[in-house]
Amino acid sequence: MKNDQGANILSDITGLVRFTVRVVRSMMDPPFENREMMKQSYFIGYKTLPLIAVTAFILGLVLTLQSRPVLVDFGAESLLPGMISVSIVREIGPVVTALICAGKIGSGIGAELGSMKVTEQIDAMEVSGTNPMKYLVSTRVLATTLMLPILVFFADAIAFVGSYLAVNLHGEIAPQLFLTNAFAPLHFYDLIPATIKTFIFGFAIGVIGSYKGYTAGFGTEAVGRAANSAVVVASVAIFIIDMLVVELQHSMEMLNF
Amino acid sequence: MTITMKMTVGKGIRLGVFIILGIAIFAYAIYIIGKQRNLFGNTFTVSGIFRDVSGLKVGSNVRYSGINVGSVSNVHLLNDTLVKVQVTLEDKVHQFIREDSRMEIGTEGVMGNKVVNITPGTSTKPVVEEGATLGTIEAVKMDEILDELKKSSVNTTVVTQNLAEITSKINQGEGIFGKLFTDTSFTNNLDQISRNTANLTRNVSTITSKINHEEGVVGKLLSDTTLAKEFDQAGNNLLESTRNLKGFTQKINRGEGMFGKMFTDTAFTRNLDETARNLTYTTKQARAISENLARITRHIESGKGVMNKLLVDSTFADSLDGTLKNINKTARELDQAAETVRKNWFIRTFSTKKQPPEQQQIDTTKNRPK
Amino acid sequence: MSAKLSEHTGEQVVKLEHLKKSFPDNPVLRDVNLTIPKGENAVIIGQSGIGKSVLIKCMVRLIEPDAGRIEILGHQVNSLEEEALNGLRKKIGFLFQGNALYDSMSVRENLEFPLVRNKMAGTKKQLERQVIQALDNVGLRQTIDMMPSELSGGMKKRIGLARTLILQPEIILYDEPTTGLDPITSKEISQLIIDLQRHYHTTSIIITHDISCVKITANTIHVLKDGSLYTSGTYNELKQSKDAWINNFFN
Repeated sequence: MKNDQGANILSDITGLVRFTVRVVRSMMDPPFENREMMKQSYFIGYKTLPLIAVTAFILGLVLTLQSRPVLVDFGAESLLPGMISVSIVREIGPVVTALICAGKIGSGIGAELGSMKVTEQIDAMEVSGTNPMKYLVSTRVLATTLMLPILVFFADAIAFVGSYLAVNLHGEIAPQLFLTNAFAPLHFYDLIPATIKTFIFGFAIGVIGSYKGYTAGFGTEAVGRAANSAVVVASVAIFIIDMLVVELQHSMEMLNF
Repeated sequence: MTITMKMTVGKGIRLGVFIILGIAIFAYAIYIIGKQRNLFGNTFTVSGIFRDVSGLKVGSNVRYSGINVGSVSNVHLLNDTLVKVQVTLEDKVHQFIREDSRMEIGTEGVMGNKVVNITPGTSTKPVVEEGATLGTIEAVKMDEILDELKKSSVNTTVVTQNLAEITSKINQGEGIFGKLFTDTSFTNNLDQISRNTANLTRNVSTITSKINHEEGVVGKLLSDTTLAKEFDQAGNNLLESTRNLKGFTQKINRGEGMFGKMFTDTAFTRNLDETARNLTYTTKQARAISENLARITRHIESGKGVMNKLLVDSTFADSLDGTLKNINKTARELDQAAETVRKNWFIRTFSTKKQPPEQQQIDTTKNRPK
Repeated sequence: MSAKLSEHTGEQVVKLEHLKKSFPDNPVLRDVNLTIPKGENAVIIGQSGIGKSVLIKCMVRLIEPDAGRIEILGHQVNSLEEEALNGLRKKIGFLFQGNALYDSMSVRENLEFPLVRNKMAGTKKQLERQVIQALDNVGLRQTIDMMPSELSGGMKKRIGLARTLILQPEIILYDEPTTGLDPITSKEISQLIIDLQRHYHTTSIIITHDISCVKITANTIHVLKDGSLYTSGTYNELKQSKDAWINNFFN
């Protein structure tokens, strides 16, 4: 079936772009499926929090422990909280959270919509007076777009807790001093673009997961393929978006300052 | 997938708490960062004009007496040579910024972020107005430092020689102290000298360390690293001698013991008169010199003059080398002298019994052996 | 074209003219012409992959045909706006091959879904009554709070049928209603289809290649071959056909 990989990727991209346009359009015009949106938000946001919390905590802890020796060599141990906070807020918090969500939520959406597609549940919805683009896709895309930033806020905060404990392993530091040190190097231009980025990540995860599920082929095998390629494509997309946003941010900083 | 995915009230509440908490975290971060950058609360702005801002950026910290009090809000070129730096400060420090407060660009931490330091002004001057332009202190330039170094190194030689003389005189001049230490102005003078010298030494050592760090700027001169090292050592020696001298004078001031003996010996006191006069003269001289030195170092700091001559005059380097060696030597001698005096003094101090405090001054003078 | 529905009662409720649909790798429907009168149980048979499912999916515009006219209850299906299309779809029940029960919803929610989505729910009590009645029709009232994954294949099929019937459609499209079921259950389902058809007086279009189902349900049988209608007739007519291909199919 796949004899031309290049053409396949290309048609995949054009399909994705067209799908995105459809999603955005169906998100724009009423009626809105608010109830379904809330339900999806609950599953995508609230239900993912424990996973994000554990990961972020460990990440903050390990990152601090690993960075410490270098700073100690330079005699700049007091810069540790600041260094960690900048890397977490600017990059690691958003990207790692997005990757975990690509794994959990992206594959979930891919598999769920894929199986609904394969078992004709999507068709059944459509003939029951429901626009599946609105009911299934828009709600999920909107939920991932809105929930991912919130998950990232939690991830950042919990990573700070992990980092604080790691700093504390080598000597007492008051939480207040840690926070002061951690926030000292943070500017709005660290926080704001990173936050905008998370909205885009969330949107990408939702759209790619939905696209892969929605365009799943036939048979149960297609469900697995949809889930799998949802994760792969979403992860790659996250890195590409990250790169583009950072580039954009840099060029904007150059213009402004 | 046997869970019913129905949205219940409980789930709605949990979702709501989740969202509100998440947004609260974000709001907290915004608030903290905003507070640091003075986006909330009342602020006022002042500005200063610099020739060179060394990479200062919008958002850089502004410090007053080492405390963060605001941030740089604007940096822009006024014309081809001047840069205007506008800073936003918290309202609570407004009352401390006087019309003669100055702005200076410094460096913080090992990472070398640039900061603006605002120096306190005189408390009698009026508080600045919103939007006022403060005076600025330009960073010191390398060639200017070297120019002044030539003068100051010559002066230093003189000073240290004088000091050596003084201390050796003190060392020899037994009994001189009788009269000498009744004269409080002398001790004050001596104190002043040592303070000045300490300042001088600090300045010299700053200069030398600057030289050490700015290698290659003055070609030949600086390729001779031993020169710099010597200079550095001279500074250190000088500093130590000064410290000794200071300790010594403090002891004198405290005036432990030795009162009775001195008083009975009238012949000695008479004899002492002339020596004391001499010494007073020397002290005055030394004071003048150290004042000069202080002026010179201020001069260096304020960064006047250019040193084209130095750059082409290779003989200067040689002479500087010689001078430094001299300084080094003198400083060592000075050190030894001070040390001897201190030891002598100690022995004598401990051999006599203590006197009531109001008599201490006299006490000291009387104590000198015949 | 814009004729009212009422004018068509007692007439042809489904009219297909020169219907064409092809997929990238094979042309499925080449030229299909078909009319089905009201109240008839029409069975469409043919080999697997011949495009039977495509044909009925075109009728509710789940698939857009490449060419041809589809007229259902007097409406040109392919030129309807979304709202009108949904209005028409309310009158067409569709029993999908795999039942297409929503896995994430209980039986009750599955049955409520078409009512709620088409704003025909009424009060909570009315909704409950409608759901229970639909379940009684298929004899599965006790499963109301179960999840689809807890049901057997035959039960799922019945629940699917109940969900299809809950909007009381005028036309029901069955996509292979007996596939994957044992012969006994298969017969039960076929019997249920015919019972309900008699009860509600609907028009049925049944796609199958299960001859026992055909035997029970069919008034007219349409045979699809090579992308167009090959022949039509009653069960007995076709069974006695001289055509070798048809014979092969029926025996």
